[in-house]
Amino acid sequence: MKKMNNRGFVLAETLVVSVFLLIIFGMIFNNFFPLLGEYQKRETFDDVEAKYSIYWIKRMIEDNSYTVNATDRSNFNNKGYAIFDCDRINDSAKRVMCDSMVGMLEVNNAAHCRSDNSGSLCNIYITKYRIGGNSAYKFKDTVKADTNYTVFNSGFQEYVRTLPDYVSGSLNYSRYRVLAEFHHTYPSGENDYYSYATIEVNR
Amino acid sequence: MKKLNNKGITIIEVIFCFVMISIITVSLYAIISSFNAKRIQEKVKEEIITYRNMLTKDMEDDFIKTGLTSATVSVSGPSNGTTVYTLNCTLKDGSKRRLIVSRTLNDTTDRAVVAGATANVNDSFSIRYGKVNQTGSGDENKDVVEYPLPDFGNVDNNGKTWKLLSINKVDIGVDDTSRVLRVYISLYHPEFGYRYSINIASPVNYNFINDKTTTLGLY
Repeated sequence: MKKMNNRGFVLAETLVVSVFLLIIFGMIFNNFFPLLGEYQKRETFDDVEAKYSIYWIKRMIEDNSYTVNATDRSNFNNKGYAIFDCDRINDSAKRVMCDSMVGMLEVNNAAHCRSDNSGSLCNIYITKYRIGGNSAYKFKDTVKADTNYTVFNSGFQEYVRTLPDYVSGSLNYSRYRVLAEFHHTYPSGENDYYSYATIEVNR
Repeated sequence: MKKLNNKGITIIEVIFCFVMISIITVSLYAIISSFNAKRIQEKVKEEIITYRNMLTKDMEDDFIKTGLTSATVSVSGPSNGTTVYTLNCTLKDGSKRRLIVSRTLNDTTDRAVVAGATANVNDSFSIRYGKVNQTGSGDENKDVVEYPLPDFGNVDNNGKTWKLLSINKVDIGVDDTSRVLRVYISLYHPEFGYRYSINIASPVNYNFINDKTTTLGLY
């Protein structure tokens, strides 16, 4: 009678294949799962609602009635940004409209978008069109340097980090840019999330 | 010449291999199942977001490109669980737009109860928006088209149905002092809550002037 196959190899084969498969899937897992988290984070960056909201803020800044003062210029030149303030609008009716708009658009700290001396800041920032890549365009560096999150929240810092420097310049010859953080809490108790947007300002 | 290993395959080896392959297969199946559930959830989310973005864009385009000169809101109901919100807008070119949100809401204990909800009706929601026919002939609302809500199915509640995607909260109004219009229409889904609702604000009858004669002057 012929002898049966006497090469005992199944266990070793299976072990080799299993280890190989585990390594491959481990590599895929490590590269793929962080992308899911990144995608979820970026869902609130420049979404449609935030883009329309920042558009209305841009219209208010571009309006002739919006002016800046010496403090704004000083902050702009030293830190790379000036804070938006409804009180900078010379027209009283437009000032009231501004106050209402920032509230309805759910700008973060909207209550402080009018000078209230509380020390808290409205989360709308006017910067140069280009925001990084050079010491003359320091907004990104300023945000990055705020490691204790005293001025900029972690979410906003993450948003700015993902933005390009806008080195090539605006096709509309815009010299400024506005960035905003929105905190969505309406209906009260049902929503609590942030969104972010930026748009150029042509004035 | 030395003989090669001549031990045969033992049953223990076979069982061990089978167990190893089973563990790997079950783990992979669990991962793929969770991804499938995630895929279905993302598809639902994508449909809601697409719907929200489409309606937001159509309304905001009118408010931004043409501009609002007036806006009035009327609410009828609730009557038999139905409330109808009508927003009439006049744009700067004289044309009119109308938004009609109709909501018939079945009252259940599983979701937010709103005024006017009743357990005796089926859920029914409708959003219509468009240009008002001002020619004087034909139906005024012939161009006020329906934006059909995505249908993700129903849940039975004692013989009446409530929809998984519902309009639980509507807040449309013009602030008299600031003359700002707000349109809030919730698109409530049990998995996402109010996260992907429609929220639009627009100034009414303001003239933004940017004639480039003055610069911002920050630098």
